[in-house]
Amino acid sequence: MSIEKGNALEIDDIQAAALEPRPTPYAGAYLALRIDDRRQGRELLRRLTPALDSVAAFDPERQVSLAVALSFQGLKALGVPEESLATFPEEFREGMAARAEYIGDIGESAPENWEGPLGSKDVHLVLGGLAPDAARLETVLLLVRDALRDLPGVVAIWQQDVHVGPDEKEPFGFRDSIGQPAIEGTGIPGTNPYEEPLRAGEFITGYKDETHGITPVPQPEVLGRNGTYVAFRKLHTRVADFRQYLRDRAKDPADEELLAAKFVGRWPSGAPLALTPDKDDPELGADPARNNAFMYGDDPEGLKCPVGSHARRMNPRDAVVTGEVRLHRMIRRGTTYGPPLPKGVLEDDGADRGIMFAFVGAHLDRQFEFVQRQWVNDGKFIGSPAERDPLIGVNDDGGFTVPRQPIRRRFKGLPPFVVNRGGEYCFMPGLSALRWIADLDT
Amino acid sequence: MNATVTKKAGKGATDGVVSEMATYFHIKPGHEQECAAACQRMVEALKQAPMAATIKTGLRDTRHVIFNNGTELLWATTFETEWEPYIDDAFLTVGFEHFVDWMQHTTEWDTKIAPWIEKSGGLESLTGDKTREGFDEHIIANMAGMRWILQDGQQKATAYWNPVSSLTMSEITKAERINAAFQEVLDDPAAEEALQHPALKPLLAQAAS
Repeated sequence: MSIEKGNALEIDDIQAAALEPRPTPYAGAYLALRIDDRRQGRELLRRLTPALDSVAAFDPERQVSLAVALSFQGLKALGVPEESLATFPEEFREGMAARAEYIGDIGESAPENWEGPLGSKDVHLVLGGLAPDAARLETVLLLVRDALRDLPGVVAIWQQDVHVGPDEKEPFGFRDSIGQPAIEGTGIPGTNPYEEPLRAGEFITGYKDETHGITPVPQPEVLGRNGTYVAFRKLHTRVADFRQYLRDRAKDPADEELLAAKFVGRWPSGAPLALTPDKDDPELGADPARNNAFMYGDDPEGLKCPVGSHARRMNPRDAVVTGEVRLHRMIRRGTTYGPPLPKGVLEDDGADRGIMFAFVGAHLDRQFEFVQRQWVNDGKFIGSPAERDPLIGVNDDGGFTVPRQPIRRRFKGLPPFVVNRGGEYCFMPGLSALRWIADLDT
Repeated sequence: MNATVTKKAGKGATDGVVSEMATYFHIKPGHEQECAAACQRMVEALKQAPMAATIKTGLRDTRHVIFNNGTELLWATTFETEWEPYIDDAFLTVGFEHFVDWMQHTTEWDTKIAPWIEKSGGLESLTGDKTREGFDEHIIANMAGMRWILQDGQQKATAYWNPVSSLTMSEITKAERINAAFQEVLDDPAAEEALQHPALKPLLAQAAS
């Protein structure tokens, strides 16, 4: 398989934001809109669509992107006919809040505790703007504000600004969003030379996927083809708790850093434990040609990178796990919000800080939901049914094993370090689909 | 294949980390012997696989039962973790050709799968030389249809119990390794004295047999 552009993939119709990696450094914003007047909602799409880059037109040098995605309620609010709505997958139609228990959003992460209006039926249209810096982001936001002018029937109901943290780190202090799968026909290179490019149907509707079937296309074809699904989540991070947990169990500062890396699967610089198991290597971490060029096959016991660590769970690569890893690959985008907790602080300062996480893929059920259920909040696939993801799992007195010679280390009493504050499932249509919705007359 | 499969796999019964799936088929008249041989070939292939490959398939056990005077076939299997989300994985990891091998002798093949094959551009023959060029590609292209037929014939167990359902295959194989190592320790004349250390008390408690 080849990532060469073309290959029957209609890259001039696919929103660039769906597949292009986010810039780094970056500034960005997520906006949620409610559509009270369907005609004005369609007018907004008419105004915004010309501003959206396709994969074919995307300029990697410019690195400015705007994404338009619609929830199921949003499609309804725009007047998409019932017979079309019925052809969308069940999980999308239900929305993230309705799937909460199934995907592990329970306890503090349950929808009744979400930040309004997330989880309500008012989140119709979600815009995501990303740029390399605040000045260029402002040009994107200006464009959005201009498109919203004189449209009182479309109301902005929620906004989350995101920004790069110091040293391009997420709130826990680790470089993230390093991995990007190679996708057939897109021209976008993957970050792991040892991974075969994935079929386009894993990420875009209407193409052959890894099961050799064609990814289901919501009908009519013009609406459903060249789209993808996005699951966005506002993940609040309990950084002080994470630091304190490690401090209480580490022998010294070096051990503390090692333990944190064992939990994550990478060092703070982004250097993978699989390549540098004993100490951080900032040069490696910063090198996009090398920092994701590895597999786990030579480390079956997880002595270098624990089998249950966050990064290894998110993408087990060639490790022996139950199932076929290629059927559950995702594009994962993380952007940071809130102020960083100053280095060394172990007390929570009450500030809201975390990660705006976005999943992108053509199969919500066997990608995002599967990963949440099987890889994050379960351990049977790695042979450890009692353990969950030590960083983002719904832990309540959880456990985590760090393989080590001569004797493994086992951690108990894990609290949740990440709490979901809310999110939604959206469909990111192709550009023709957006024009089709804009031209509806229902 | 332009058609889409939206039906989810049926849910089998679960016990601990194991779930079951039982699907029923009807054997084509005169195909009983060929069907039986194909079922045995699939099991032989699974038996040959190293443990790592078996863990990847997730299969805990599998059996084919021909009944009702050779007219019906039950494929009953248990699977580590949940069958439903892993059904596509199973085809890819076990190898689609093993399913085709025995399923082509069932009437469901003609009534349900063949139409899918037709839609996908046709498949000249599913028998004969499996090494010929393009055969695997043709077979694999019809995976979605195969998934559908499997789900269509599924019946959930009324009752299911597995006495070692709390353990995964990884844990079982590790327990075997640890027991072998422990027995080796116990064979050493110095073991009794060594196991007196307070830290080894739990092991000493297991040393009597």
